[in-house]
Amino acid sequence: MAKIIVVTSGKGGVGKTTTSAAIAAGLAAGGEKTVVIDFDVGLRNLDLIMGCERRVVYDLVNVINGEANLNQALIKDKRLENLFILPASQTRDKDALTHEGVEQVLNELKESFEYIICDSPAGIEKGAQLALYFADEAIIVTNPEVSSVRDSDRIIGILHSKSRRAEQQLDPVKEQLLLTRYDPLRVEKGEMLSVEDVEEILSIPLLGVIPESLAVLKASNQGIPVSFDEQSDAGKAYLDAVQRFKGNDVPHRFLEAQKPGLLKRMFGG
Amino acid sequence: MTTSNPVCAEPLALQFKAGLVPILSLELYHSNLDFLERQLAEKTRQSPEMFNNSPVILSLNTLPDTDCTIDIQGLLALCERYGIKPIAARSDNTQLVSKLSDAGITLMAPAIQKAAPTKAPSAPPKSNKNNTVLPSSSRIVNTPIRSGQQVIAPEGDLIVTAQVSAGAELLAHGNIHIYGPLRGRALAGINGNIQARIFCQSFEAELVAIAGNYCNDSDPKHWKKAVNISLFEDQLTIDPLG
Repeated sequence: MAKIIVVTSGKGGVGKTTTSAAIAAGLAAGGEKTVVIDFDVGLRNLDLIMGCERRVVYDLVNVINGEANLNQALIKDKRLENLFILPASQTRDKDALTHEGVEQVLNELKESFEYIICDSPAGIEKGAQLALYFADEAIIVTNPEVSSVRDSDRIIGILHSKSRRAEQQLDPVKEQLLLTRYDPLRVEKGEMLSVEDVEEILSIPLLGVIPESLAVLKASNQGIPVSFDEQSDAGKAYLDAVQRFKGNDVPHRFLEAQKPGLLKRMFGG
Repeated sequence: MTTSNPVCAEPLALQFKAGLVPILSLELYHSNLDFLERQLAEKTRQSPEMFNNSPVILSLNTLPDTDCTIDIQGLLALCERYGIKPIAARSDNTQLVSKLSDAGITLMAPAIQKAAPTKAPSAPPKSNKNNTVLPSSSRIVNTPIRSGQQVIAPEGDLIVTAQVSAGAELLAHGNIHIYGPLRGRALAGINGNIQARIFCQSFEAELVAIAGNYCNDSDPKHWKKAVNISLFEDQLTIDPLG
């Protein structure tokens, strides 16, 4: 049974698209047929992060309007045969999305994919509400910072009240927290909220903690999902999160600040 | 942008929303129109923008008991002259009620109000502080109340068995009980019930209010403690629970 997963946050710039790309790539690398949909109509970014911006011909809005069929709009990733991208339209706005259109696209995708990842736009308006409406599971991307935490709380409230599962009184959407841009050193200094602080405020299960890492910016600029960079902290943390998402018990890493070793302390970094 | 209703295909055309709209009440303590006009003129002079066709509720229950002779037509004309639009009135006096309905003014159910200054000595409702009687239509919520959500118990108590996040708002006619951290706002006794109270397991509130008397300073003495909040002589009192 295909699962629809929304990656959402309320606040912008916290790492929704990076997370959508990394989680989708991680699931596909594990052999699951996965599609990732960009719901950010008008501010199309996912294609850049996935490195397929020059291959976009048709997009989600074309499919909804019946100007193209799904197979024409889906872009097959060049690195993983199980990974597909459905890009957003850059020349339209969120009003181009319709409830029925999105439902039809998702139903069609459900027939051939195991995971459908919906990369939500920021905000709580129509675009974000449509991205989360049909979700079975939600990954709430949050930075360890008060405004991001409050916006995540707001979006969890919307999942509880305005999603399909809430309206039809089915089992609630399964929400999990992904804390990104985490810097244990700054947490120790008291400059950043700790994992425990955020968990206490949001009280939803923790899917993973992604450390602040230079690898993320580098991967974005190169158009490579960061989970392909298995050498980087962020890449490893995303792959751990993918394992947990599939139900495997993996211990959390990168929660403590790395103490410089003896040699490093004696001779400098 | 039009909002579409996700359940039906047709776009949403109308909706009833519960809400609290702040509105001025004009309490009268005297029936002499000249006397009223003098003070009203002074008030409009002080803050003219406040009386720019602003809707008010006329409260005639504050008139002295013997004073049911007030000229309703004259009063309405006076209001009009000073840019006040009475949209409804409150009165328990049958004579005044019939005059008001003749004048086309909507009558509101009598509010449970704080004793008016002129009547203060005769009605101190403090004696039954430990024995509050409230309507039984309570509302129980078992899920966390998240930022931006508003939960109202318009007729009774509100009981929440989970957390109330910062940016969430609870409103109740009666008491509010929270068996989790209160990080948002809690407003009890919204219809003026000064006997309402707020109870919570961990006090981290942004704002608490009882019958319109609010307090938003966070005394570290009570922070994250279980507390009982009540109203005593127009002051919110926070006491430790248990």
